Amino acid sequence: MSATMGSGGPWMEAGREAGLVLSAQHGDRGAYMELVDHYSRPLHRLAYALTRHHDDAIELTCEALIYGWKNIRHLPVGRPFCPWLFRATRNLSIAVRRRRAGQAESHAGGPVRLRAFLSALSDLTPDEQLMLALRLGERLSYQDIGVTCELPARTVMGKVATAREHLRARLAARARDAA
Amino acid sequence: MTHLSPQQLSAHLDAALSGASLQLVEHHLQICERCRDELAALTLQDQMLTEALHGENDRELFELIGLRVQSVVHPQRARALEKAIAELERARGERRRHAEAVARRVTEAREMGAGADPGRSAIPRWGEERDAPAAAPGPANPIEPDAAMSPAAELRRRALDEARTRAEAEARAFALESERARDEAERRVLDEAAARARHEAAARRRSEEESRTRAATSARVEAEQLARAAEAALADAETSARDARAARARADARAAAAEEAGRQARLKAEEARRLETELAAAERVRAAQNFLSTPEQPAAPAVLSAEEVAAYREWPDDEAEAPRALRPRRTPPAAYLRREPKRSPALVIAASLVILLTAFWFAFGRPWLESAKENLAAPAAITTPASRESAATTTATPGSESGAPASAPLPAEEARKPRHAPASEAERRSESAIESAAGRGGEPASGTETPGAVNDAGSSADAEPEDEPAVDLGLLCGTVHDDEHRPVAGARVMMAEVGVVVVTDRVGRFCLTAPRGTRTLSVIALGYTTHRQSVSVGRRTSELNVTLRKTR
Repeated sequence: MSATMGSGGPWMEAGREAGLVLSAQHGDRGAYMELVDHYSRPLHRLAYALTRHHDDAIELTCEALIYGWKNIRHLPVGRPFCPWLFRATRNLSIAVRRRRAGQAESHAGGPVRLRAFLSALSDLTPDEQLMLALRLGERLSYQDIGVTCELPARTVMGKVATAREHLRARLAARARDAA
Repeated sequence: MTHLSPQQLSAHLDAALSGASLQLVEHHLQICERCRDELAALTLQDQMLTEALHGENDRELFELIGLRVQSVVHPQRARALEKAIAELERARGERRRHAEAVARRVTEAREMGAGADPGRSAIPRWGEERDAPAAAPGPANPIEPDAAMSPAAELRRRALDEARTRAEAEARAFALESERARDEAERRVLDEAAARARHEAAARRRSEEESRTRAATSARVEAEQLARAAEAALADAETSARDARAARARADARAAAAEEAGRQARLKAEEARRLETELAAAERVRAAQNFLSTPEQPAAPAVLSAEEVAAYREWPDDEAEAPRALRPRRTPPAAYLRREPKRSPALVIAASLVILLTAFWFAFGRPWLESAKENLAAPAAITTPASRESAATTTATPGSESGAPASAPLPAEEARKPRHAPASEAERRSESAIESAAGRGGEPASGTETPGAVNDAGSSADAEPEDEPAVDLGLLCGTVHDDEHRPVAGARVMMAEVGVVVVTDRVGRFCLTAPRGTRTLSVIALGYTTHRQSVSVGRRTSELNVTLRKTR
């Protein structure tokens, strides 16, 4: 995996991020809080895309950032911090989904059509949700998504297309059910 | 017609295609309406999903997240942070409750408005289709006025009508506001999508321009590197050419120096030959003087040729009665005295020519003749008693009497001829001796009867043969060459013990005769170091190869 990220994403400048990560690995809390300030917004967007609930998104964001602080010493030197944190968020979202299993999703207020989209999104697999969240929410390129998910760019292209197709099918099914 | 695959549409939507794939997709989209519709549906889906995924983005939310994380990162400040977290959560709760109250009020107003027009809702609800058919008439309004209504009921009915009218107006206002907000939101989304598309296109153009610039820069850098490499190669070639020219100049200088050295060496060689000639002439003069001054001398010196001896013998003498060998001392002929190099160079040159011719004859002609004869005949001793006797009888001349036996072995060539006889006579006698030896079939000579005919030049007919030491001669031939196996011509091959000197021919070959035994052979040539070697001269011809080393 390349340690160099594209310039279109939420990435911090590589050298600065590496310095902050190294300081945080040596126990520098201030350095880690700088990382938190920089990455809390994209992480919250991803968490909301994965949970589709405001409170769960906040909880998942905090869990991911706390997980990052406790395990940042295991991050290999030279590896980017943000993809590692995104992958941790995706894994933690599965635990949140299990906790909410059996409960009806209570999406926040908003237009019905948008809530229908969020409901259809919840029917996708976590990987498909992650792909769409990174592509549409964070506007990452295929290369950056591949870096985040540790996949080749062409595989990412296929997975994004598949996620779009599945989402479209779920929306059509829900429309048929409503009719 | 094969339509575009979902992957192609998705990749085109994400602007991930380039080159031929992009051209193919765009061309297909121009001619295929179905794929255009598919692409439009995907675009709308992406826009809606992007809008749906747009969560909260207020500053207090991320302050709350930061405080929660900080409370874990800084456990010692957790208590203080918890208060701030509670304050933020309380404020956010109030804001959320207020928003929910507003939303609920809007919903209630919408519901009330829908209830006021039971045939068709004046305010379309979210998610409802605008063109939906009008619903069936609903149930009767429980507060519908009737004829028997009391005044209080009439007042209540009027109040309710006013309230309903106000609610309907408010609901219509909310519906209109919501409609405008939705239209505004959709327009904003579309504008954002268009702006994003423009931004992505611009970014793609910039990326392409940057890539082209980078390619041009790299090509320019590569061209500059190639040019520098070519210049360096050219400089190297020029340096090599200069070096080659300098090396050639040095080689020319060395060749000129070598040529000059060769010329100097030739001059020195000529000088050395001239000095040798002069020295030989001087020796000859001294020998002649000694010979003439000492009548007891048994034989003429070896350096004198037969002609010289004969010429001297024929010097007019008043004391003709006495034998020539016993004649008193005479003064040397004026011709010899005139042979002093300093006094008469012409005489010296003439004498040198004579000496050289004689030496050439003895060095080459005569050995060649002998070797030819020996090759014709069987191996045989050069001298035998018979040949000696024959030689003695045939060469017995009045002038050949020396009156004294040879006390030491003489040089081979001179030993075969009478010292006081002419050269032709000596040759004839030597040849007869060789022929006689050949006629005996190569029978080895006994030690006591070794031939002394060729040696005993001074013996006369009246001299006693048994008193003379027998000299058994052997023939030694060989070749002189240098380190590179090239023949050395003009080398002097000497056997100092017996006073034999011969010169090699143009192929470096020499032959000499010498008394048998182990001798020291010296080979001297100009430009080479002197070679000394111990050789064993036997009865039979021995082949010898001499290698000379060049002087440094």
